Amino acid sequence: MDKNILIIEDDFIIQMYLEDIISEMNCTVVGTLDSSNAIEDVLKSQKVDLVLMDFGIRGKRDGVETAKFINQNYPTPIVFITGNSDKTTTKRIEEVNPLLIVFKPIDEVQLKFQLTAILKNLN
Amino acid sequence: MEVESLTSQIADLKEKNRMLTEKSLRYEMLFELSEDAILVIENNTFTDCNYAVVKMLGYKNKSEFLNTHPSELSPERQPDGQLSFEKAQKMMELAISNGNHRFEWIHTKANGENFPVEVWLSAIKYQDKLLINTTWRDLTEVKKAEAKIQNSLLEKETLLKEVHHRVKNNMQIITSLLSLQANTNDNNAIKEQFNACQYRINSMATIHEMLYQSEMFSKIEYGNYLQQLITHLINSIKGVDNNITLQLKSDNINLNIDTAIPLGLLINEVITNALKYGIRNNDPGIISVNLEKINSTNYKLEIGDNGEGIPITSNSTSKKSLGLKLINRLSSQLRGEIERDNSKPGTHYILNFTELIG
Repeated sequence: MDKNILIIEDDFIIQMYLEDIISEMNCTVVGTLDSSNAIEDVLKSQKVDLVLMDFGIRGKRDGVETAKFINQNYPTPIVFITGNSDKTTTKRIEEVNPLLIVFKPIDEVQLKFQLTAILKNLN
Repeated sequence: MEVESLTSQIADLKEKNRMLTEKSLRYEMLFELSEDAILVIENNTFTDCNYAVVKMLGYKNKSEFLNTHPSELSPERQPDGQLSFEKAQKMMELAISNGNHRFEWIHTKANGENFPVEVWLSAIKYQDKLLINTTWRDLTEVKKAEAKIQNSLLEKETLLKEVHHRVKNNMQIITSLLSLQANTNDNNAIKEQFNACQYRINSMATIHEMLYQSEMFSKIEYGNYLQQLITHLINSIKGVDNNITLQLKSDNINLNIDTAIPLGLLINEVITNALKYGIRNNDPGIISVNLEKINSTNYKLEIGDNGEGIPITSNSTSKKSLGLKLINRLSSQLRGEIERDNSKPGTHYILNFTELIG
């Protein structure tokens, strides 16, 4: 299942961890960003099947605003990974219609299982 | 004789008069100079007050504001939206029917500034007249202090929330590092050791995650936690397509962090052992957990699996087994006792423990 995944996560160790998970699933990480700044360059130049989006990221836009930008300009399926599980944040995330919201601490087996199911259904 | 008696009567009257005047002067002084703000209401109107009221309202003398309805020294409406006039009428009626009445009110100073007052009305009948004795206490400083406390409480809540959030995120980083390190290895036994560490850290991270979500930041509902913790362990050790049934029963129990963490670690060890050594490979099996409240501080946990049981030669029962050491140490930390329950097939434990306070 070779799909192209874009990771947006501001912690470098979690970035590596997610890259590890993606490559174990035999998918390709087409980019890892710590903010939304370069997102347009990546989405313009590459085919991205799925975005793994952290909520709290660097730069002017948080994960939700970045997702809004993606939805409007480069519609791409998004899976949110968030450490902010409070109601306000969760509600904001739900409003940008992600395929899935994953809360930290990440359950690795569960995440792989859910991502496999999601990626299978993507055309 | 008559003259003498008259003279003495006059002297008597003079003396009585002097005493009355003195008494009346004394009470007038007590009224005027009292530090308590006192007013008199007659026919729904302030007819008199002492100097403390003049000072509180910031007027030069009482004639500037007396002979007014209480609502005339108030904003148009009170904070609850009622018209000051209508509400003042109600308050005075209540004082008359109940004898007295106490409430909070917003009055207006000479300079137009509104301020909070605690008002105490007492109805007094005096020679066919109905007076309402009114005492005011300026609540400006009290309200300021209340707001300050509220603010400080909010700040502390935010800070506490932030701390749980950071602790959880740092724990996520630690488990990520362990996972990355484990994956550089092809030796399954070594990978398993890394996994065991990850489960332990995760059992604590989940508590911080739940504390962050909870309203009070100090306690978590333990049944929810157990569901999350054990499901995670089953999925991690046996895979998502497993043959394990979880039978979880729990009273509605809220535990503080001092108890939640050692108990979570202990349960993590028992379940990990059950899934590794009790129920083998892909065998079907049942994990049963029952958490009961015995009284306000004592609890009983029954936990086990219906697998083959731990053989004596197994690594987990050897002196080296960290899992079993942890189970014993953690039950001591919970001031509890853990026992094997041999009445059922498989491996079962009963732990009686106490909630740790402070």
